[in-house]
Amino acid sequence: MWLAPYSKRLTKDLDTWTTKGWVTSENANAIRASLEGDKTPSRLPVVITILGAVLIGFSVMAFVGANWTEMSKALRLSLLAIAMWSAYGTAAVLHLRKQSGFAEAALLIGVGVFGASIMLVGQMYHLPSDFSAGLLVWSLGALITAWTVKSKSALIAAQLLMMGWATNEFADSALHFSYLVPWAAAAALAIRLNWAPAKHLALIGLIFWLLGNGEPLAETIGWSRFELLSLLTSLFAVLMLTGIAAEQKGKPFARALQGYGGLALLALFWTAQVNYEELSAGSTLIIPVLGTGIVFAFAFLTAQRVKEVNLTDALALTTFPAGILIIGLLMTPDGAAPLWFSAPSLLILCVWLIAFATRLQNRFLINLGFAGFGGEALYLYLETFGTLLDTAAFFAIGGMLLIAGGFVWERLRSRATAAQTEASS
Amino acid sequence: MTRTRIIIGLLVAVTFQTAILTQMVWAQITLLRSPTEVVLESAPVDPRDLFRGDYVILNYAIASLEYGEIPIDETLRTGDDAYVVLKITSPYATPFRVLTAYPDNLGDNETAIKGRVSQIQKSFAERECTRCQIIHLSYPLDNYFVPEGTGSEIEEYRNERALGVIVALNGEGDAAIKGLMMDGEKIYDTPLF
Repeated sequence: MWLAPYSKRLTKDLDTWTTKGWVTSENANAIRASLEGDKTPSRLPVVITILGAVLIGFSVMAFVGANWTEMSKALRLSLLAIAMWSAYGTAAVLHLRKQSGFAEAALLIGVGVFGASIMLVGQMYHLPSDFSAGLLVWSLGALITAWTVKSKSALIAAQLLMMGWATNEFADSALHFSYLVPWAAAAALAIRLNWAPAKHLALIGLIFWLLGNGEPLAETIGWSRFELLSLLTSLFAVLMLTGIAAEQKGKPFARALQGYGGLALLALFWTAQVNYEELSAGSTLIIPVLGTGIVFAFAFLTAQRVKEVNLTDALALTTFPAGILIIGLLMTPDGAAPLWFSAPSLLILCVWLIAFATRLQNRFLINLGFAGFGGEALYLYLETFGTLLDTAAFFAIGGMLLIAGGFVWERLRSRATAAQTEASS
Repeated sequence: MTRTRIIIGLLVAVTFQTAILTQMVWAQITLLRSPTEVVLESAPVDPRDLFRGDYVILNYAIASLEYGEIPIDETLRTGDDAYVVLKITSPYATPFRVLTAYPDNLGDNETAIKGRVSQIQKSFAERECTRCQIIHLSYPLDNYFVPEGTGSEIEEYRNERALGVIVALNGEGDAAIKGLMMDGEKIYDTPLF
């Protein structure tokens, strides 16, 4: 955690709380003293060193890219091999001297030089330009380094490289299950190290893989995009609910699950809205409908256990996968999206998300709700409903309804709070 | 982590990476040492993407073959491996069959190159055609790295179809670029080391 901003904020709050009499001066002084004791050395030098290592990595790659002709291939390869062994040797020395931050930088240079060496071999022997296998080998090298010395920087490099490799493979429009093997190895290390950035990247990597394989997966099983989008939405709704349930039990990473779940829900619903293909004629919809049912059941059960979740939330979460199927059913044969249904639905779901996130006290989801609402409003403005006048009317009516809704909501909340206060007194 | 564990861990990592690099180099050297060699005729490519950085994008006359002109296996589909049987002729090798597997019996002055079917499409050529269908093939030979700033001349030759690409082939159809030819003269060579 970055202590400086936290200390500053806490010191300011302590002054206020002492003035209001909530905290005694003695306790406030004890808290301030504990903050002084918690001060750790600045991480800035290590951060700067890591950035330096990234620059050196790029410099080696650019050096290779220059395709210098003065040296023989053997000499070029030997130079890179020496550089690679030196980087790892330096990392070993720094590790043994307990300078782990700088050792991480040296490991990152080692991984970078390994990648540059792969590129050099590709360049020397004119290997194909997509060179997908090269990226895979590079990511595996980084992953092995990460596992053998539990290196955080090598792990992050491996995770990013794997995504680069997957991007190349997605271009082939074929199902790409092999990504899951190195991904699982990286995710397992992220959990073992219990390091938040790597765990975030593992989740991002999985979402990335799911979205990248969506189209070939749909083609393989003969689904239309709507069926697949609906099922994926169900999956992310369950992920979000898992995050909510996990937070009650104080599990780490619960908030991240909620955040990624919410982000994916809005993104997938929006994708359905801009999709131009109709539901295929032979669609049975059994699995997506089943998925929607599971979301409702899961949300209903969560509502029984978690006081911040209620039946309205269960219905709203179910609306995401169900709404996508309805958009598919309402598509016209010429591929026109039923904006009259999808746009108000998405705007209402964004408003729900803000309210829901407020109850969960999840700031990321609140901001996401606002961003989603604004984004959809902008999309509508750009698309329009036919004429600018219609758009203006839609926004005016929508705006008035929201203001009226907010007013009624506040009145209801005030009455409920008053009734609660009366009952307790 | 203990001192021994760190040292062993790093040794495992760096040895693995060195072994991978050695294997990559060795595989290419073995291929380039193959005695079978053909010269493929290059073809123009989209002029908007002629020359990126320091390598020339190569396209080949054997990358698009018309059904009816030579026998092409009808079972080939997009994404399949395809083997183009070539007659080693001068100045460029000539394709005369496309198969789904490496041929068992090759005649004198014949060899085969492995490619992948990237597309099978109807041909809308203005000229007469029997089947009017074309198979597009890709080969792992799509670029040639050259010293910085020397690509433009090669590009011009390629677009005039005066550029030949010398390719080494092994007994399974795997290919590697050995060099470039202009007007029948070798202008670039790929040394082994």
